[in-house]
Amino acid sequence: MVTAQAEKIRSERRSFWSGVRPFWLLAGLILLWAIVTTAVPGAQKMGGSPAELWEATVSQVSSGALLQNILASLQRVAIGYLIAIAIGVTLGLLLGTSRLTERMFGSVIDGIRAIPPIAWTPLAILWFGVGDGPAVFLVAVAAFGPIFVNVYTGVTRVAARYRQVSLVLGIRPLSWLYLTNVLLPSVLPSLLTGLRLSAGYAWAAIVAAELISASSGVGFMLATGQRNLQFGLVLLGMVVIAVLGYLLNFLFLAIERRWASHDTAQ
Amino acid sequence: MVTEITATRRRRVPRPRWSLAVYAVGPLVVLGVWGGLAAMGVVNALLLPSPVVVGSTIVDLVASGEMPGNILLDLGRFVIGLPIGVVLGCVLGLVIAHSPELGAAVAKVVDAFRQLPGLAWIPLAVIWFGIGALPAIFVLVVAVIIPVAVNVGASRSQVPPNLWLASSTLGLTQRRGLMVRQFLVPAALPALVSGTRIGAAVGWAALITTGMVAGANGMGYQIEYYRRILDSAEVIAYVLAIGLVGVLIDAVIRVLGKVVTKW
Repeated sequence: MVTAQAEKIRSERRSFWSGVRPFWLLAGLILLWAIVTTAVPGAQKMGGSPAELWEATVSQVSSGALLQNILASLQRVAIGYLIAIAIGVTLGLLLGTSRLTERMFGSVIDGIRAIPPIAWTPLAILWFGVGDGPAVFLVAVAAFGPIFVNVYTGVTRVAARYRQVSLVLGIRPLSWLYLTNVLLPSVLPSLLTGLRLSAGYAWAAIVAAELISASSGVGFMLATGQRNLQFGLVLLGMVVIAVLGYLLNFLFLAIERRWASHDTAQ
Repeated sequence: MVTEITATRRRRVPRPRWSLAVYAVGPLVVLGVWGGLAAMGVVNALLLPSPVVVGSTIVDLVASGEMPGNILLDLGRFVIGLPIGVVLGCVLGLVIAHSPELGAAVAKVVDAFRQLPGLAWIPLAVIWFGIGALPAIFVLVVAVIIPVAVNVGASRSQVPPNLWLASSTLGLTQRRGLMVRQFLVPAALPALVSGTRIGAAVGWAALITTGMVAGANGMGYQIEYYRRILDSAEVIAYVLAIGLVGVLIDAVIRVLGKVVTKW
């Protein structure tokens, strides 16, 4: 009993260490960065130091500016993202179910999707002025693509046998019963993938939009740091963008695993 | 019943004559709505000029050589940066795929940097390299490295496990050259191509955006210039050009990829 417990603890310890061990290079690089910026004179002017990052973090957190900027960005992303879902799902359903609309409007949508979302930035500023408008527009444009494509392919790939069985059972296509019992379960997995991918696109778009035109947000932190040569602020902005991007992806992956798992049972 | 449905579905339906015209409906509707809005003065012509004005602006920009010149400038930067990013990403990816100890550590570093959109590097690039082509090339390289490293790094697992088992049964694992040629290269090359395609798309956008923030010339700089002086037609022309060049870049890489992975 005791030995079994000891063995268990030992194996847990071993798995803990094998989990941590691959981080040696990352930790080593950070340590190297800290040593070089403190020991070599002038190195700090080249790229900022961990000390500056720490100072910026403390001042931004204590003044509440960090939280405000994060919330400003998240709010813009949420609004643009919801617009993208509304348009992307509607167009995906329309073009996926009807050959005619696909032929008529497929080329237009493909053409718009071919333009990198970020290229719209100057036009967005012209159209929506300064403030939240351009950023929301850019997020919507960026997030639209993956949502549309995934809904569209999801609809076109509803297994033929499901369509046939529902026809046999007298369920008309586009009836409520068909939508909720045949279409939605089939489209859901690819829709969730589209939602996750477009969340990543939206996050990159908000950074670009706020970098070029905004007075708040995580991208604005980067822009301010760049203009005032505050390395700490730039580094803090990068860390915050990376961490929030990771959390967004993690959240959507969890949703995908939870809700799309029935797909494997098909 | 079921078979009957599939049978009718598979039968060729004679195409009506107007089928090609259907494809023109969407673009015509968009142009019509756009032109209509502009003609009726619903939207400010300063912000949304009519399609005719944009069309003639494109002709002017191309004829004067300004747009082709800017496209060539950015393509030049792209052609310098892309190979650097691909080579660096490929080296990292190969280490991840083929060295168990170092590869796991490198994978963690790549994972950490992967969370950051390439565009977030722009401020650091500007502080380091100032204004001009260098920061744009730097951001492009960073944006390309990550997807290439991730894709190539995952390529080893694309080799079917049965192939490993079979080759070790046959005693082939000792012949490294053969293993590399037959297994690892065929697994890594398609991953390299798809990683390069992703990286090229992201990198092209990053190159243009850096130009907007810190360019001295090129498409990104030019489009920001026209925005500041409210020349919407020129802005729209450049938005379209950026998209078109991006599509052409992807087409070229896809063709090259097909040639490279032809076996």
